[in-house]
Amino acid sequence: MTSTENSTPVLAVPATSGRLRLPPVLRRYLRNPVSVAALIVFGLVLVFAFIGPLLWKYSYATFTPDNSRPPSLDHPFGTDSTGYDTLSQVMRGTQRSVQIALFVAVVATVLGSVVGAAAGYFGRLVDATLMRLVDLVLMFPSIAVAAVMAYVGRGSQTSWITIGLVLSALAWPIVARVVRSTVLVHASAEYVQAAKGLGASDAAIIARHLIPNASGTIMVAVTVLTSTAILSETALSYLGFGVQPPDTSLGLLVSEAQTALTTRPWVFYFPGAFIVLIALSASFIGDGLRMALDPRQAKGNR
Amino acid sequence: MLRYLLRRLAIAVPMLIVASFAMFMLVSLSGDPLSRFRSMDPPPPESSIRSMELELGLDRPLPERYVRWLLGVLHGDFGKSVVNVDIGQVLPGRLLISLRLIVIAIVVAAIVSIAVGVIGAVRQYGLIDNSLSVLVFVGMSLPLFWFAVMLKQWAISINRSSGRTILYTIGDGSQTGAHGLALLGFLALPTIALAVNIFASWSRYVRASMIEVLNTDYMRLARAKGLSRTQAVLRHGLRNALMPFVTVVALEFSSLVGGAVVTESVFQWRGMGDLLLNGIRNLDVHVVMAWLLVFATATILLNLLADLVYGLLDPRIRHARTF
Repeated sequence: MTSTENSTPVLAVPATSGRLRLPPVLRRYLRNPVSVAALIVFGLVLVFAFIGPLLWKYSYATFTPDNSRPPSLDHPFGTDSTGYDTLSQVMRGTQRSVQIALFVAVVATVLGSVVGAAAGYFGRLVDATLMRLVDLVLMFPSIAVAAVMAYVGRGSQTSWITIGLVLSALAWPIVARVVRSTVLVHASAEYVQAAKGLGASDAAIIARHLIPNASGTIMVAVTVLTSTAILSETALSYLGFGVQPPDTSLGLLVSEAQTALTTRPWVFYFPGAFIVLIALSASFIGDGLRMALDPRQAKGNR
Repeated sequence: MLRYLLRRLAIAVPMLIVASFAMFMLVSLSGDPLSRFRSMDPPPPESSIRSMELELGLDRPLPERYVRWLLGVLHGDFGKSVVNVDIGQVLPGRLLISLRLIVIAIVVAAIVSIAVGVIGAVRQYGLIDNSLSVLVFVGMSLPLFWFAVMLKQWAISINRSSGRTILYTIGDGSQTGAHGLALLGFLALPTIALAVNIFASWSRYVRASMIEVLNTDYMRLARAKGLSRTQAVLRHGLRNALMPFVTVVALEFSSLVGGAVVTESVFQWRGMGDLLLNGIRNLDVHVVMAWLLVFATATILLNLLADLVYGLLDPRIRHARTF
């Protein structure tokens, strides 16, 4: 707890001094039309999910008098058999799903980065212990653990946080491994020795030198995690172990609509298409970032 | 090699014990498996609930329950289930059903991902590679359950237009007594769904390692000595590019099993996935533990297999490890 509190102000320093490094990456990223398009789509999804419900005339919880209507001007995504407006349901579901996905991405990345950096920097016993822990978590069948834990936490008002925590607990080891291998390279570098010689504390070296140097890897991890988290959450909700009614998520909407595919296809296709849209834009953002951070690999064989 | 395998097993066993202990506690502490019976209306007699508690060992402290389970497993006894099924008896049948799906899906996905990955690497950033990349990214973002339900819908319309049932959308075929070739109708859709779900990320690995291999000196040498590009790729490139792929398959086994559980659920198969999900819903600790044991054993075997195949593909590793 204290180490993360300490690191926040310290982290702010390299951000300004790192300005020399950031623009080329950003410029390379913006040069790729696919990456830019993905970023715009993801931004639009966020607007749709968080601002959309404030503007749209129907709330996700109100029954409209229209049952099982196909898409029309009044209901662009149609309505379901009980009269819920599918557009407002999809907005609400997207909001929940994106919330959970971003929550998982942030929590798992922070935890994984701290553990990975500590393991790579301290080495020896710390490294061995932490990496065995990583192996142990990775050995668990994630679907079983996630289902058990989510099943226990069901029914509470904060169930989306429970699911977020469960998925984060299963996702951080992957980040830890990647960050550790990046940190290992830098831990023995001369500038780290110099910082040590000047009397910098271990926490300061990790926060000021090692984590910023691994920031590329970490940023890519965030986007990849967003994409996998949304797929895991919707799958869990589909199986009945995720978000519970009356709350809704994109997975739950698909699950409720699957029996009515022939009669009300719109109720089924819209939420699913939004899952694809979010996961796809997140992975294209990640891919663009990776290419921008490592132009050698991207242009290698052109 | 044998010593290496034994050492790997020696690490795996304590890890397995820690993992099973954690899982046992997780499920046992999640709630009372008999709450369903307690809340029944009219309530069952106190004595019968008491006898169920005794039978399941719920009256004993948790650590003791775990030790008794562990000792039982060593003697081939998986423990009592809350819903009164003999776990040891249903397990082989369930396992067979799920293995059929998983093995075929792995083979299909491996073939497709190697083809897609190699073609993508050879034609890097060409039109073919870019279109394949888009396809792969869509495959990675496609929710398995959504795609599987669409497949079902598509199969229903095929069946309808042909006038008979070619593709089955429900069940694994064991209830209707189908066997041999007749099973293909049941297997086709779930296999496609699962294979599409896993081939995408695998093909990215193949593509990345193939690109690396294509830039090596020995590939240039192979071309220089007169092999055509295709010959060089197939004879020298493929073997080296497939090495990381072998570990990826073992590493991604957990997500593969997750996908299989979802697939079985969509197609209402009564395999291992159904066993697990019902076990969790009933807080049936011994059923979940039996599932976990099968999963963990498969993971360990798969990792060993990956090491063995690695040795076969790369003589350097084979020799290094004999010492």
